[in-house]
Amino acid sequence: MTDLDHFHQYRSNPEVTKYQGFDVMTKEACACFIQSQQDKIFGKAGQWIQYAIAFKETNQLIGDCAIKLDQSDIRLAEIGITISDFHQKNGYAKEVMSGLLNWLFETQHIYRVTEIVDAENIASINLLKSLNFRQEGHFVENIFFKGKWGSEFQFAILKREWNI
Amino acid sequence: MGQRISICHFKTGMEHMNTNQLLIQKFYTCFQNKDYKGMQDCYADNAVFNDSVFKNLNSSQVKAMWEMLIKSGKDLRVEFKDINATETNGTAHWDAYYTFSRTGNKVINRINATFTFENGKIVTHTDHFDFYSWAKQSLGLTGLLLGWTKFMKNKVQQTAMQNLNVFMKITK
Repeated sequence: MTDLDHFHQYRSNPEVTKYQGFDVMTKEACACFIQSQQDKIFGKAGQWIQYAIAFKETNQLIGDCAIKLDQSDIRLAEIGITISDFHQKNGYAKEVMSGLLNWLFETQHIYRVTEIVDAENIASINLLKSLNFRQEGHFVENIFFKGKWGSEFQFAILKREWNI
Repeated sequence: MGQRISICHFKTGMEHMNTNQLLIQKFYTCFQNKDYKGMQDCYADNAVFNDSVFKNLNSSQVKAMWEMLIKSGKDLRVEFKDINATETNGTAHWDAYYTFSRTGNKVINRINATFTFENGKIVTHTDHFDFYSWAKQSLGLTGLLLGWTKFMKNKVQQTAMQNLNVFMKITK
């Protein structure tokens, strides 16, 4: 199976997209999305860039993560992560997030990283807390998506907090 | 990154393609997207095209042929695979699904393409397909009865070339 096949497999699963800011995707939409990422380079203000998450040994795609640098200050980053339903609850998300934060703080000299998470997404909330993220905001029914109003939390971590 | 996982760019399957494979990929992707200008851009100025219907089309003619085919083939769908290429030669397989306008018959044409390249452009392009199989589908009973004959093949070739010449005059 190609990256596209794996990507479509989990991005078309309503259970995977339930708490995400995107809806289920057709294979054509997945192909366009992957293609759209090919020319993007990390570092551009205000632009989401998506990376593949793959097993080191086999290169098999098991998820994807996204980073956006703030439009007005590229020392501020927002991140997001999706893991395939086949590979959830194996600690991969924590491994990815740790690696991502190390890279952003140590290599890219990002000062602060935020993540917005659905208030009902307990697994992600627990993950962020376990990584020392601080809950900063609770936006009550701030987004109408997938047919209903949803609430979100904002979590954030500073470089000095990651170094603790 | 951790012990088990890496973060990397998505693999599109084109990472290991050489320049001429990418050229063929571009040609058929443009075809799928009905982007005849993108297809035309793949040909060299001295390009020559051949198939069972069109013979020895020059660069202008083959470019016009794809434009005519795309503009007239409203329900045309193209699938392609098996792209191979060296520095000088290449091959690919493509299938065309469309309605033959003159009879309204649905046609699936399975085609093996061969290419030669110079300076990153196609200089010769030959599409190989079974004319009789195509004639049976597109012309119906007439094709079934006469599709194998030299007369029918010549007739189809002449009509196609006339259509191309008219199209080129109109779009000049």
